[in-house]
Amino acid sequence: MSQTTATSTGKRLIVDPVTRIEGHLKVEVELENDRVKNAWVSTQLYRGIEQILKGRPPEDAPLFTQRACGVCTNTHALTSIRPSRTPSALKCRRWPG
Amino acid sequence: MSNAKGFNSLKMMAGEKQPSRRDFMKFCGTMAAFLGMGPAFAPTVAHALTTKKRPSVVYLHCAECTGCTEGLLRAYEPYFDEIIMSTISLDYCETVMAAAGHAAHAALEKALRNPEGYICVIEGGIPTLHGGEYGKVGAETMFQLCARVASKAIATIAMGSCASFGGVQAAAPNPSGAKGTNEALEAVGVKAINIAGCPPNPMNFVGTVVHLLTKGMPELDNWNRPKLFYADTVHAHCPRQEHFNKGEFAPSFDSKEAKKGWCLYKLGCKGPYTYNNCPTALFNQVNWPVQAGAPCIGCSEPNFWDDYSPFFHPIEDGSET
Repeated sequence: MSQTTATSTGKRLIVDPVTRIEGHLKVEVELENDRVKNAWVSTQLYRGIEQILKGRPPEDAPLFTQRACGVCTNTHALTSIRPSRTPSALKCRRWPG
Repeated sequence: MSNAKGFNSLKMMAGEKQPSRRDFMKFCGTMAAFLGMGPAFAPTVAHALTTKKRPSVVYLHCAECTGCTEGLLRAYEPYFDEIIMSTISLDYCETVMAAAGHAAHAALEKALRNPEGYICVIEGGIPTLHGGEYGKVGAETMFQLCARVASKAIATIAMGSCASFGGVQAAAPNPSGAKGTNEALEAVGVKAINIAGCPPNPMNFVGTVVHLLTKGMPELDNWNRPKLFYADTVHAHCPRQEHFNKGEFAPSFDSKEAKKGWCLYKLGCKGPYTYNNCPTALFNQVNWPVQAGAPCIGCSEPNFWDDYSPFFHPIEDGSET
């Protein structure tokens, strides 16, 4: 698929956007003798949900982290609940001030 | 979806079979009723949908989580396949299109040249800080792409709270400078219809598209949301409302009172401050958060991530008790 759909610039193959996924992905492949020599995969979006979470009550965290991905929503929710149940989370609890 | 139905959909996609007249009329009936026109108007809807060519829809993804697309993919009666086979022609949507990279870009350019025009749907906030560097599609920033596509569209629909009001990435401190469609693209003359919600009910989106095709622009409220779907508060039709009126508030989520259907207001429900049709439309005609025992977080309101949080405390508290 990629051979026919990507733009081939010399020995570089760029697929941007990568479709049928959640998020914005760019794949860049460097070819040498029809073999992949080097490859770069980069996300094309930064939202900063980690920064947004700082200083908020831990019980709100799952609602925010769920929005990291609408396809694998619950994984992110559960992962953010896990650290908030450890004793060290109490030290991190800064909200409301 | 049963196997037989799945197989029929595949055949339809392969161009072998159009949706049956019966299925199509059922869809029109559902839509007519949903738009408040009554089942008798099903033929009107059917006429509008069949006499015109299916409108081209360009669906752009910006700073988002694809949850709105996921909601749309799970649309129930009409199913998503019926929507794209009989209502719209989805010419560009990164999540579901087969093409990638260069071919995807070519599909977009082709759709933009469509002489009959296209409807632009934007999902996700538009990053604006540092020239929009925080989000790119192809070689363009999301801001450039949206400005280019939406400014020439017949109508623009902002799908979900991110596209409507900036969403989760616009919550304090808004690291990427994300803005809603109307705020970010005001300068290029875009006035989008906001289908707010996180995610919005897919019926609200399909209903808006059908409304555009049959009766033109729907009437909008102060926040550009169609009044058809966002006229009443969630609280107004809440099944737990009678307990609110009696002052019966569930003390905790695991209490027997919560199970008996008592009001979740004291547990942080923002229903009285939120305009949406969740309790009447339901999600996939099955259930919605408050009925399932989770408080409303006010997801169809502007800036709800900051204004309506902490989510598990009543709004007047403002701080943790």
